Amino acid sequence: MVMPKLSIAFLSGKGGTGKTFVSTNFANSIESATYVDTDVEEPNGQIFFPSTDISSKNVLVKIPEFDREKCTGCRACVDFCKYNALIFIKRPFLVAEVCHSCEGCYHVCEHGAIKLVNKKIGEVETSIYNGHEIISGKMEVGQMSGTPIIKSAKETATSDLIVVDCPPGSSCLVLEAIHSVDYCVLVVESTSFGFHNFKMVYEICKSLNKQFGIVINKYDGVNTLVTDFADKNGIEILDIIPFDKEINDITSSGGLISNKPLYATRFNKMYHNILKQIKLGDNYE
Amino acid sequence: MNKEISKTTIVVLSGKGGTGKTTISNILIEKLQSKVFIDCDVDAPNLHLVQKTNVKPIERGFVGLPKYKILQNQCIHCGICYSLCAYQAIDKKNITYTIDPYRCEGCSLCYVKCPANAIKEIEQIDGHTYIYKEEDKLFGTAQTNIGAGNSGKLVTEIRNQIRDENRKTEFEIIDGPPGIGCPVIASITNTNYALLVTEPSLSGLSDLKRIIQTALILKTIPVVIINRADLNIKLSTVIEKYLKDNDIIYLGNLPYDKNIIQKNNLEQYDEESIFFKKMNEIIKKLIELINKEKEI
Repeated sequence: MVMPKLSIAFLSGKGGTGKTFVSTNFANSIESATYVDTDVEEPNGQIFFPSTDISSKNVLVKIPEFDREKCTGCRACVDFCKYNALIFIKRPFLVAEVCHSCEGCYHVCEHGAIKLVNKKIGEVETSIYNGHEIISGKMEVGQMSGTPIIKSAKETATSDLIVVDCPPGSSCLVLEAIHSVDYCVLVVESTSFGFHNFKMVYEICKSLNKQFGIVINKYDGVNTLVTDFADKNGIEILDIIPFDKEINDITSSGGLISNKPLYATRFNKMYHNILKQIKLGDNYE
Repeated sequence: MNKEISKTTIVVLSGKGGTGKTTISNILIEKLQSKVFIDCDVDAPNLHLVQKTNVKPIERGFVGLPKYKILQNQCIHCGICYSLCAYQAIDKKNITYTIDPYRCEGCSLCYVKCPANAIKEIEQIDGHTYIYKEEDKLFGTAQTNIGAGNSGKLVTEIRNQIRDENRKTEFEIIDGPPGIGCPVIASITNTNYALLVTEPSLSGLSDLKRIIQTALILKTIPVVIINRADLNIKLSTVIEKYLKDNDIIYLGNLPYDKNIIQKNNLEQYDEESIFFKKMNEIIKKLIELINKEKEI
């Protein structure tokens, strides 16, 4: 059977709800699935898929460099820059930390006084673990935005099932991570903080018309905030994972619980549940 | 000697999310009797859920950079915008070009270069700031709109608004965002201490290393707490050793406490619990450290 290429994103709003825990184990449970870590500011997925053979490519953006001979001091570039990354003291100077690499200054300069040079902002690392392609986007410390690294990491994936581990929050980084994915899994903690931030990513999925389901993680068996909300809004609960000492011990030490058959079956069931939902949906081609 | 008390700003950060930043910020605010505090986790703010206040906040819209839209009836389908956009924010379907507002970073290059004046500038609100003003406390928080960029700018905006109120406080507490990117950098800038809350896991340690580097680059003193240390004692020891080997100040650890997670406000917390006893020790150590630094 030829399967259509499918990508599934794991997101949460609040940090630390278990995106990486659920997505690494999910990818590990499905044959030849690719795992892509797009949480480029705090990439931890690789910890769970150890490998001694990691290949790496740099992610580069362009920043301007000035040719002082050709520059007439006309200020066109400085006036153009919306990010205030160019300051003018008799001639333009770049504040590289603030530059958004839009390349606009280069295009507005009429004197050919600007050339674009590469700046490294991070890297994308690739390795193989038990037949799984493991891809990890990593931003360098001190950089402002990892969006180009997320793009590059996703483009590196080659298999037919791509599992995308997203950054927390609801910012443009998250939007880039779920750009063009087929299905979103919202990993949520049943606490008041977890619920509040969950509603934000819930709104994102709704406004982008994404199909989605939720996984309640670290469930304490008491708080019904999320289950009540899911019932009321007809949201698919894909799984409820309790707070469990064994899970914590294995995960905090860098292990995968899905290496145990019982859990592998559980994540596999989640996958089939998602497939069923996608087929029922309108987007299925 | 009668000397003016200088303000100490402490930003609570973690790199990894969900380690307990907001809970610890909330306790610090109370215990240090902070009169000025800010929630800078503008992508997922939560401090307002646990900070009791009777006043209504002053709300202001935050206008970030404009976005752009292609006027289809004026477009001549030349594709100049499409080829210039460094963010690949312009989608092309047959001969129709549209701008993806979530990818657009507002640089205005397409707008400036369009030969047919077919691109329109649209001012947009990227988020909101909220200030709760009480006689003896000032609380600022902010929230970005879904998918909006400029979180770093919004952090700077709420911090500036709070600064402009000119309130006196011995301790200003900032509840920071996860990660190490632009909102984190905007939160650390001009603070005295970065209180880093980590947890005993390999992920926690990996992220802790990155946030320590970030704090050091920005010339703020990093101090560390290990939260839920008893959940993996072995890794707690590994983290403690890492801190010692790298001369990073370690304030102490806190146990996993189910009650803390379930309760929503300080009045419900059990002051006699091990968690609170340890928290009090940590705060004592922190104050000693601050006083020592001030003398130098």
